[in-house]
Amino acid sequence: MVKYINAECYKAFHRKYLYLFLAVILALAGAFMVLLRVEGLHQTETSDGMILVQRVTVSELMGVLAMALSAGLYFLMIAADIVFSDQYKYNTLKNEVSYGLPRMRIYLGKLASSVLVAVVLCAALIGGYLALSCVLFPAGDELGESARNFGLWMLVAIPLWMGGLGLFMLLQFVMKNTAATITYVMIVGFLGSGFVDLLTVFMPSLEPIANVVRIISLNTPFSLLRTQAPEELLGYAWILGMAWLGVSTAAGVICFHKREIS
Amino acid sequence: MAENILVARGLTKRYGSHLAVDHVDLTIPKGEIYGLVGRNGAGKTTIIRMVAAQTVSTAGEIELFGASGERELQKARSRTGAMVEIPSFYPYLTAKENLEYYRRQRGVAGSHVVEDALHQVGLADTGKKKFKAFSLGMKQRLGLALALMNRPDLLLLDEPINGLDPEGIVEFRNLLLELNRQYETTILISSHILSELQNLATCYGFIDQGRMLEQVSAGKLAEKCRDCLELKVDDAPRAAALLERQLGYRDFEVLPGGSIRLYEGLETPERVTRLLVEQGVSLAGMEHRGANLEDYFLNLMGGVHHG
Repeated sequence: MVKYINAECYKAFHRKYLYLFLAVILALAGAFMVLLRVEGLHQTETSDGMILVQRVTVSELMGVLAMALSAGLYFLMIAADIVFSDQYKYNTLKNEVSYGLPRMRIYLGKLASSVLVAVVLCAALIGGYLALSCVLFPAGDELGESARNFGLWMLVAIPLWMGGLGLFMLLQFVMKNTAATITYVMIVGFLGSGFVDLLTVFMPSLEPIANVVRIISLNTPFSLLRTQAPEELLGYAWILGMAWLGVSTAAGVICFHKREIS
Repeated sequence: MAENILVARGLTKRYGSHLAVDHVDLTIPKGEIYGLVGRNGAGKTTIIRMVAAQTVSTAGEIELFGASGERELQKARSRTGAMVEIPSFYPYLTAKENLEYYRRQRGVAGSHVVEDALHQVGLADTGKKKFKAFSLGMKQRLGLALALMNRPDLLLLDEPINGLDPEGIVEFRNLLLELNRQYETTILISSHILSELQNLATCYGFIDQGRMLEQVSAGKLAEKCRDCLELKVDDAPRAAALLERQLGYRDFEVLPGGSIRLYEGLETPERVTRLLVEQGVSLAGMEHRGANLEDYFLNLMGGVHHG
């Protein structure tokens, strides 16, 4: 398995796609920071009625990033796609199975490699964002508290991202078309609850099903983060994320076991 | 007795109602170059794909290097190299990067094996050229390099010379012959180019509509394809005795159904005619026959199919 992951990482880090994606996202983050640096003042009224003009702080920028963690689900699709590399389009899986590599190793190896690539992507993106914040903005008074909250938000996000990665990997192996896979994941996997909300407007009888979909949607804990403390969501997020990862991986291994490789 | 590298028993593959491979039995002893011959859609590629685990058989059993059962077969497949249909690689990687990826994945020791394999197939100088910019011939060579990288004991090659230029075909043939001679590499090869197959194969399997029609050694096939006079007579044993006693011929065979194949005296058929007529043996027909692999194959299939 280690050899397999080593090879997948070798391939992934030889793709321009990965570096291009990182460069684009970091450039966008940089542009956002520069704009905030130039225009980023906000006014608050003090208790004695004075208007205080303040610069945006690193603490506040951490909060912005935390609210955008659900977007990580989509970024992880890129990590999985970089590793899976259109195997069906290029028919490269035949080189692996004909050498006698067990199909379970192929599946789990690609999943594990996707996790590794995702970790590198996350570290580069979040690290880059925070580094830019620290260079361009003052720390703020509540940096310690913000960092702690950010850590908790990350602890909520990580299992959900893993679940999303598991689902995306399953669909990559089952469906032959990457674009169709991405569309399917976005509609059913990640935006499922919103889609069902829309359906229940026209068909109220679907409400019981909608409730189940809301509970199991990977996006739900991210939505709840707006109103609930991350500590309260930790258990829910880990159970939900690991369930998605476990079920989708088991389904993927079974489906791939006897699949025709052309 | 030679060790059997590949044995298939009752190998069957069904796609819905279509029976692609129908209870095929196949035995390839060590060191043989086995040519799989058949029309398009006869089942050649499906057989190779089943051996290479690219498709799962509907029924039957495969034994590789004496191993059978899923786990053992997986292990045994690491001693094989396969090139099935068009070679497939990552288009955004170079030849070297593609092979390096598979070397790491397979745990083949020493990065020099990549250079060696590329050198062996004449792709050592492709530099930074990506696979997507390769010609079909270069892709075939890279496919072969991958198949050879782990120095396999069994090579599975499906239409491997498609896209190669004449020089490439000769190089390819020589390479396979060298591997076979030097390392006793066993080879299962299918090709439409029967004349090329005839230059390589030491035994043949003829397949049609998923069924194995005949397996024959190259020696036996050469014998069957020898120039001969085929005589159709009413009393073959008596005619054979006359040929031996009166004309001194010994190189002939009596076939079932009243035919005799005579391999000598071909330049004087009138002597045979005269003898048989004089001795009262009814001669219904006499034909001069001789065949190459292509003729033999067509005869076996019942002639050329039209339309």
